[in-house]
Amino acid sequence: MPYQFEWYLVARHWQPIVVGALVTYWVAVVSMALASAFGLALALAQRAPVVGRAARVYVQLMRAVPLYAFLLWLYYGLSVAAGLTLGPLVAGCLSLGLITAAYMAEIYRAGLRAVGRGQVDAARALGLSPVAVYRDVVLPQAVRVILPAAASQFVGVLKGAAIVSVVGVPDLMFFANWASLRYFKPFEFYTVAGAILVGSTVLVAGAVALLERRLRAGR
Amino acid sequence: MEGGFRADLVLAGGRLLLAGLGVAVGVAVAAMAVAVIVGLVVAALRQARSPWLWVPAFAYIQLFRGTSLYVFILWVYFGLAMATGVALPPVGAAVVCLGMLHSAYMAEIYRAGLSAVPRGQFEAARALGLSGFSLYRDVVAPQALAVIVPAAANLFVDVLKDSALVGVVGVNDVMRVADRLTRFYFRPFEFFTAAAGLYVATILAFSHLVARRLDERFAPRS
Repeated sequence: MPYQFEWYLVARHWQPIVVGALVTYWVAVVSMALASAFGLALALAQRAPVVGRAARVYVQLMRAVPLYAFLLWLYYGLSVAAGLTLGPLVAGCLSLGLITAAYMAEIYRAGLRAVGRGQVDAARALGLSPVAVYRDVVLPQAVRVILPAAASQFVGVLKGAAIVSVVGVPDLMFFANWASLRYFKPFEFYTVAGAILVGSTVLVAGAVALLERRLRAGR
Repeated sequence: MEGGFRADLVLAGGRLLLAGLGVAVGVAVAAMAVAVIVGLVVAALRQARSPWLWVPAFAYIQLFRGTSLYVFILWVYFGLAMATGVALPPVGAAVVCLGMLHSAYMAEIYRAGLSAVPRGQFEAARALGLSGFSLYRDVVAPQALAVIVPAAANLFVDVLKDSALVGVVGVNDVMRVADRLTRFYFRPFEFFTAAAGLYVATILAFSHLVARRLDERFAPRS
């Protein structure tokens, strides 16, 4: 018997699909915010003498660990070992954010390095205060390098956010898994979930490409 | 935590975990092979003049670069299998999905490698009377590979990391072994630490030993 497509089931469940997609976006945005802040701290710490070593080890380690392994380690492993219970949402955002922070640290580092030493020297020679050197001279130039790289990192975060349902975050994939079992119609629900997630990442990636072009044009 | 870190349990499950690592590496190597071959075809189509060839190749690259493995593997293994009756075994689904996703990145790597060879190199080689085959083998390939090989080595690290997920369709990789050992002993910290540690050790070893040597081997000779 050929497979009976029942797309009306998807239409009937449009509400949890929309809410699930919003949860996925929320996880991605919160993780990215966490990664941006912590990544900056790591990038600055890497320049310091003692903590620099720890920060570099952190970056090396986190870039070598799979998100899925880290998520399960954090959610199941660490919570049992340390006796702290993280909610699924917290574990999801933390694992995605802490791993992405390592990549962000590298992006900040590359951005800061792209500003020539002569720029800093010249700004100092002109009598600018250390704050003004960074605010008015280094940052505006570094941002041109950092922003496009960070934006394409966000595409990776959005893709990563799709897996947090494995620890029970009620996102789009969580609903797709549930509905596939409930109605025994995996094709319809996974197709819709996939189309929404892939559509989102392709849109963001397109926006990133536009941003890159505009920043390059302004150079 | 009761009894501290039970390293004895990790050792007891060590053989299973190592076997799981072998499965993960095997899946990643096979998927990388798929990506290297399919990526080359896609990259070639992407360069074509006819829109009937380059538009689908462009769409393929955009689509798969935006797809998360978790979504794609569930769609193929459960969705597509039920809708079409084409049921791949878990390892087959894992290799096909991982390979296809990363073939899109591989296609971009080939493109970057080819565009790193200056136009003048082609013209000079032709002016010297080199044949088409010799032009590619002796002039273009050595220069393009200096870009392609290091990038492909980085991509392999991503493939191996992504492969951690293939347990969701039943491949007995490290993560699934760790998950099952956890359920048996109820010691999640030990087994997930061991699993994550195995990935980190494998990937750091790869990038410090293999990838670095590949970079040197293919670096431009001056």
